[in-house]
Amino acid sequence: MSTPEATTVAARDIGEVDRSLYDFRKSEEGYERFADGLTPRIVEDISRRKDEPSWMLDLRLRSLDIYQTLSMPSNWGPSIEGLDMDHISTYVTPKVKQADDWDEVPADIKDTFERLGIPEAERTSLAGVGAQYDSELVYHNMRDEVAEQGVVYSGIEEALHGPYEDLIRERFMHLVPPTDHKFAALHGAVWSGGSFVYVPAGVSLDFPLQSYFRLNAAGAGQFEHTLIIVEPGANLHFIEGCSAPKYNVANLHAGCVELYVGRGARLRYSTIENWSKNMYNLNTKRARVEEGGSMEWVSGSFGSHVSYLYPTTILAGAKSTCEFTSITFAGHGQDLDTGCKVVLAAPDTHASVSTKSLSKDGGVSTFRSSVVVTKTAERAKASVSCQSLMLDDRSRSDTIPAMDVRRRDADVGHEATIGRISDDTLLYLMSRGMSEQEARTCVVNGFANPISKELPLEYAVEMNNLIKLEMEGAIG
Amino acid sequence: MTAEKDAVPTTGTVTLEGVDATPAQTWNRLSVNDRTLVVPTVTETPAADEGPSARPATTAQADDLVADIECGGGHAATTWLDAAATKGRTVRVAAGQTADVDVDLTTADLTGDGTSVARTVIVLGEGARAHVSVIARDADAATTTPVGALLGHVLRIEAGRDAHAFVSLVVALEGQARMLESVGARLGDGATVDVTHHVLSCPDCSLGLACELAGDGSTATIDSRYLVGDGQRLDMGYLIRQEGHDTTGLMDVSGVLADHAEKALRATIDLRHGCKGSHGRETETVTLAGDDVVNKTLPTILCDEDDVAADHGATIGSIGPDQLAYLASRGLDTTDVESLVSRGVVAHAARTTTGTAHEAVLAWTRHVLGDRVADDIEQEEALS
Repeated sequence: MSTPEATTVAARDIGEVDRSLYDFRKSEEGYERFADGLTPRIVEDISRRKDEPSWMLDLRLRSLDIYQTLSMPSNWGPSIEGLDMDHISTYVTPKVKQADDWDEVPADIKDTFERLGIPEAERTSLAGVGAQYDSELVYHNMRDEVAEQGVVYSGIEEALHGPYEDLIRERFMHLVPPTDHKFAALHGAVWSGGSFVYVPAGVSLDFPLQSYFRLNAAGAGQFEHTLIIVEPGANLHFIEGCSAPKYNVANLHAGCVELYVGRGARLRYSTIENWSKNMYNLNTKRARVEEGGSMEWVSGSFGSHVSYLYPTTILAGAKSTCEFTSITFAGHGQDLDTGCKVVLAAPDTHASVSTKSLSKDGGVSTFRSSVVVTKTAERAKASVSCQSLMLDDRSRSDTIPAMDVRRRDADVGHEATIGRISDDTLLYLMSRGMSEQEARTCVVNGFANPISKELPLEYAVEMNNLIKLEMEGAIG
Repeated sequence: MTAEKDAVPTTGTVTLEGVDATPAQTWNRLSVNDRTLVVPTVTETPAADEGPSARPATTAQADDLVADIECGGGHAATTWLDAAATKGRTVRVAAGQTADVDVDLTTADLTGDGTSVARTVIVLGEGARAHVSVIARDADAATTTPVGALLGHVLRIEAGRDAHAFVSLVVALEGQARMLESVGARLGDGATVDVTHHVLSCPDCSLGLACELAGDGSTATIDSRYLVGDGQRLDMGYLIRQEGHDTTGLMDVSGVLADHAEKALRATIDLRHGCKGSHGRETETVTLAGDDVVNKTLPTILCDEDDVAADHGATIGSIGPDQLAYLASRGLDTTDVESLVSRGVVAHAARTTTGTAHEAVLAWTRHVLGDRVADDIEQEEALS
């Protein structure tokens, strides 16, 4: 998917990166901020502010009821005790209108996205961009030639007021119902922002679309909803990026991604997640793939204090496929519980999972997967590969895959390894003139290479930069 | 092998939760960790130690020594087994000595509540060795087994420096009796425990095993092989905790699932902080040889140390088309090949057992697989 232009843009020296690239704050002066906590009144106010159809308000209020009755399962994943919903504002907005020209975006917000490289990427290598700042989209635009093919890429609220309302109603929170878990219910109640993408049958986009989510406000939540429908035979690469400055209070991200991949269609969904390390990232992503369709996930998780992230793919159609490629890097103060789930529910379906995780400086990385082969999945095949690298003896790495196979003719394989960088490898690289830190970073970059090569070049560079940031101080 | 008779009365039962559960929580919706077992409430007083031990010793002291050993069947199951045991044995093997310990669980010994439970404690001194052979089998054909009957065993092993325990379990229950075993072993410096499980048949079998490699250079190996027949259910919970330096934990589990068989394996390698130089490995091969099978596998590696190596590999499927094509050229169809795989499990059980357990394996083979297979196995043994 990368282009010659992208190659030029991507030629940034890894040494140029510093932490201020992501960790900078903007004043909230003049912003509209709802009271902390969660009440029916807040939910109604969010809905009213967006002038939503009544069915959406009903869904929000129903979700709120579910949220208030559901409890978190005991003993699940890393602790989220530090997350107190009574001290989280579910809606914060800079009071600006969504623009389709960067010059119409307020200067401080535009500066934020400029520093993150979004407009530059849009100019050179993307078919369209959506930029969300706290609870609302501030920018959304798509190239004319893409729109001319019938592709829709807009804010989801905007789409709710147009001809796609009925389609959205059919699909919105159907793959991830509010009953799914407590934070899905929370999302259903207070969702705000996010993107709607519709790719008509047979249309193939040469360039990716990208949505970038920036949470600037302290003690706030971001609950964007991404709904993508790729019709039969169509082809889309969608990129999601996210970041936030670091505060000493908890922030929450409980977004939701619902992906519908039609017959023979292909969707690649790439994510580079770099939330700040005070963030609770409790995100839910799910895809349904029809006959002959293909779902590809490429995921890099670098930020957040605690993550629960398990993108799910339901292979509902015969000969549909799923590839999941991810890397998770848990550093100081991070407890990242990530992985994926695949349900092979139709004949001749195929899933391939390849993950890498790194733990350093007391970080905890947990890989969980679930591969389910149902009785209807004749001749289904699945493979899971998980590699973990321990970078010091203060960190932790757990691998907890599960397989549930109910077909005689299924073919399921799994492999996992955990280890550290060998002394021999370091010694060899250092004998060639590298410092120990350079040698370690080199090995880690090589470890991550299978993931970075799946990304467009400029995003691969960003990922490598993030690894370099995490590797700072890796010695001693 | 045995006739069925009326079920065990269901009054006075208790449901054991978390049988064979792993230390790691996993997906609730898959219910992998939700194994329960309904057993009779224990009302009788626990059995006294029946002795004699290989080396007469104070049973109380030995029991105290092993009281805090974690057993793999889980707290509820282990507590129940301890309370329900009607036969108890404590064997203390002095330094440098060797002991053979046979535990024969048969449906002939079922008590009024339909259970027969034994409790065994093994304490090995420095360099001592013990061969522990556990067989769960049906009584002769004339004895009937009530539905819901259960054979149980709880085994605790404390292995001192450089001690070596060999533990063999064979389950050959064609009748209605269920099986529940919970084993815990704690190993000192340089100690080893080698565990072999053969499950040939059982309507509902739960095997829990936990090994704590506390000593530097200690080793645990688990070699588990099974046949799960039509409608049968096998549940395994294996845990190796590696705490000492340079420890080794190896698990190798393989077997065959026939029609409507249900199997769950929870295998955990737990590399604790400080176990530098250790390595752990889990491998599993499941042959799916029947329709409507349910195979659940949860191979877990918990790692809290960097200077270690751990890996896991699992293969779940039917016999590959290339292998089938080759064997077809030799005149074997799919059914023949699957029978060969099953027979391999039985032959291995025969090769690695002695005494009562060996006789039970051959008797089961003759009864279930036929005289020809049993004769072949005996002939192979004679030749080897």
